Amino acid sequence: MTQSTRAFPRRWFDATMDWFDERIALRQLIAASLHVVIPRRAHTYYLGGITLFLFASQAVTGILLSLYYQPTPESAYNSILYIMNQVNFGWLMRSVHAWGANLMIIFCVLHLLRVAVQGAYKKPREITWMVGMGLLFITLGFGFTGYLLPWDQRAFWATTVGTEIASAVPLVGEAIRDFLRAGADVSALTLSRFLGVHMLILPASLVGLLLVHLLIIHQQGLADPHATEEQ
Amino acid sequence: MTQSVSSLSNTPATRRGFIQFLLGFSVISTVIGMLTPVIAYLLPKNANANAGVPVDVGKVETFQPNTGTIVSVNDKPVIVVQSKAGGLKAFSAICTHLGCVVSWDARKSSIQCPCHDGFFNPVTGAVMSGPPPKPLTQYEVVVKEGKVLIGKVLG
Amino acid sequence: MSDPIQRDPVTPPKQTLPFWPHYVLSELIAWYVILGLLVTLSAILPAGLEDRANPLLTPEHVKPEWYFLSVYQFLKVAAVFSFLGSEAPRLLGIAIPGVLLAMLFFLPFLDRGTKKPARQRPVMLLVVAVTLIVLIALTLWGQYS
Repeated sequence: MTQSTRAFPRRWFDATMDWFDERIALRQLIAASLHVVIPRRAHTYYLGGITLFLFASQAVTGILLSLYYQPTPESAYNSILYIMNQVNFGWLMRSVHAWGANLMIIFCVLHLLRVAVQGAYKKPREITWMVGMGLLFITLGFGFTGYLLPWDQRAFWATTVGTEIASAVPLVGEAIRDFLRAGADVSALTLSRFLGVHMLILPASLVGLLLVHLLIIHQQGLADPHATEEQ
Repeated sequence: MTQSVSSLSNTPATRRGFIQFLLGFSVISTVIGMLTPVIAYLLPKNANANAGVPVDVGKVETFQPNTGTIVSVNDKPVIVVQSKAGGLKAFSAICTHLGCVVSWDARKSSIQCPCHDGFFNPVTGAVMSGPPPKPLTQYEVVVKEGKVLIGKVLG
Repeated sequence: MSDPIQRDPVTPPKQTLPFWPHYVLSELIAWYVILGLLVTLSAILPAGLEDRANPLLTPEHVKPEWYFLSVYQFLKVAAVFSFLGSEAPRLLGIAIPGVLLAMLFFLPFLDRGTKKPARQRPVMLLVVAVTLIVLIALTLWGQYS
């Protein structure tokens, strides 16, 4: 089939791709990116990919929530009420964000269990495993910091109790607790600190580690759980 | 009829085209289904649920003759004027020209917009001179138990 | 279970599956299901909100989120170590989960055996099963105590 007989959208698409190809070899780049070795017997159950999807969903709903959320003890609670009761689909965005947080932890753990049971962490995939553990810690950090933001009774006291656990560490425990709380008690400063960690530090760290995680998977391909690898 | 249907479904290109159409249709409807709540979420709400409920703006004595006072009614500026010609009146203080907040010009006994020197009549809100294209919106004024209440929009 | 393709003497075994479009398509279908699950759960049980935070009033049953509950409960259970000294429960309550997490982190260096199918690694399966049972038991205990 020649170029000219193709339907309009296809022809337009090809022309655009040609334009990029001439400059940055785009087709080559895409083809290389989409080449990942998937052994037929590798049963991933799509758990890692689902976790990735949930993170994307958290990013979208989180950004949307940040557009109405007001991070002060005086107005945080009311801004959540406003999102739930006044904003169109506000209840949906917040509920999807809350459910997504729980599901993301569940799928992270299921992904970890699958890798552990199949022994997919073994040489040469030690780095992928440790980076993955880092991603799990970051996800738990998201849950811990995000929980305070609605500033309701449950949020406030769960954070009080949660940060208190840190004080069990010998010698530096209380310093760690006060560092987490930005003071001796959970206060307006804690809210600002948790929000900054939740919206800036953790997302940036997660994206960074995720890229490493995916890049190594791309380099090595998926593990074949039934065979010793020769290479 | 039957023949044409079966011959259609036996042509690989057509079947493929049909499946691609279905797939494209599903993808596009999913994207629309996801974008609709997001766009609706971003649309601002008209927060003025209280519009029309009279708002207490102070005692009658605060509004002396030949003065105009800017008060806040549901977070919007309103000018309450006490003129010899028309008594106690309330207008939206947002100039109809470019949205500046008007003030009282005691010398001319009229409402003035500081931005482009527009003047409004303190009794009717009509434009006396300057660039404003429309008169100021007038509000209902009720005096109850010595208090000035600003009510709904008139006219 | 062995792959039937492998026993086929005529066709040589095809060891790998194309990432694009085969694997990606399955992955997208999985995402679609999860999206449906998210929206359904949100519609049935929307996120709740309790009373506004009051630093002067502690509600009756303060608990961390479910995914921290097992560690929280272990800290309480660690009271059994009091025979080792007055500081032991607090110390071990945080040290033991910490050491276990560190071991999990360095798992690839602790388990250096050659790769085998899951069924030929009974020790690992046992460790995973026991860990899961303990974690779930601690979580439930924390939830209903």
